[in-house]
Amino acid sequence: MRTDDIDRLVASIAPDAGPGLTPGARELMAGIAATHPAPARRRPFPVPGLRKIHRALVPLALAAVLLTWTLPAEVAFGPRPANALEIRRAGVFFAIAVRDVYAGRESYRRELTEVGLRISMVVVPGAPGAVGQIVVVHGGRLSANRYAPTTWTVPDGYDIAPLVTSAYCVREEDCPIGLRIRAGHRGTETVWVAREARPGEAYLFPRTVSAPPR
Amino acid sequence: MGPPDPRERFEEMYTANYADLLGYVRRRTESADDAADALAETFTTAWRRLDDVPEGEQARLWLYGVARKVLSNQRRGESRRSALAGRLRDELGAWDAGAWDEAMPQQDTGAIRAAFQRLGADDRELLSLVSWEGLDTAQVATVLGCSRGAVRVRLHRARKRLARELHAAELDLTRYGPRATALVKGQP
Repeated sequence: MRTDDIDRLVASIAPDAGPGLTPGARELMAGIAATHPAPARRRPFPVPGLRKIHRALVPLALAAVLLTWTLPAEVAFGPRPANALEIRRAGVFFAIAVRDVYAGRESYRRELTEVGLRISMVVVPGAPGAVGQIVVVHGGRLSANRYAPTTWTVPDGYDIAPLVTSAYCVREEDCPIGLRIRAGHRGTETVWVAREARPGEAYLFPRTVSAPPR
Repeated sequence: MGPPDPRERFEEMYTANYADLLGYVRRRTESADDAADALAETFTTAWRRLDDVPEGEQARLWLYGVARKVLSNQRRGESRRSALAGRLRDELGAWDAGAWDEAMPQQDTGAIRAAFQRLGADDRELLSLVSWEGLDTAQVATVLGCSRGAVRVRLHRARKRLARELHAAELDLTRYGPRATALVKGQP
């Protein structure tokens, strides 16, 4: 798309998306469902003739579902392939390789959401030794065109870990950065992934992940 | 198997879309109170009209459309404080208080922000839906209730207007790639 650069500029000033599903949010959910009357359920097909058509369509719908289960993935119907990320299912994990390190967190988020993940992913320039490392940022704040993290931790590897790239690498240049995350992980963490910095670009990734934030 | 219990369906829809809706309203409100109230009103509408809420991904777009109208009413002073959102209001307020004690904005991004604010509200909403909410043209059309063609045209014009504003602010667009510069110069 010829206007990606403008879109990236706009993405760079996106205000923070907030703390996610907090206890107060759950309280609101329970309050709405408890305080207000349940919605009146409408009959799905109030016209008798449509009900017959509905019954006739059931076998067709079932056949369509079975078809999508049995067709090979290449010809099955489904979402178009991701382009900023390459997401593969590997056992109980998703292996997420970053194919476009400049795509921006909203693009990553869109593709992560498609597989049910709620984390935010930010790819930031790092020192050569840090490329491919990941940290989970706590209290990170988007300010201007960068995050200013309060603290960060190295994930323990149980749910989130750096991508094991051996399956991807034919040549060293082909090795992607990314992460491995447990399928069904419901956290809303912000994960930083270190990429190679461009000439003259400041390192944003922590120089040593155990050091306090700058 | 019968249809799902309305409460179960509401809770499933709420938990699946809450984070996205929170992001949407926070990015378009000035205070935690307004954000909390907009969320309360949006999801209350969804509960009352649960049969109208589409399934899956379309639910998020439907909720964006409701939130958009709620925020529009809020700007006209037609909203009220929701008693249900008390704790949420406190949480968002505390989050906001922490959000702005960090690093100051850098100069060039401040210029981008200022140029963006000079656009009309419709242009800002279009560009935000694409770059902040990550929607494609068809999804934006669903949220705004217009055709894809109209979205494409309006989006192109909004991008050009932003590029011109950035150029007028003498921002060095070459840092952001040749396409940004080309857009300012009127190339497609």
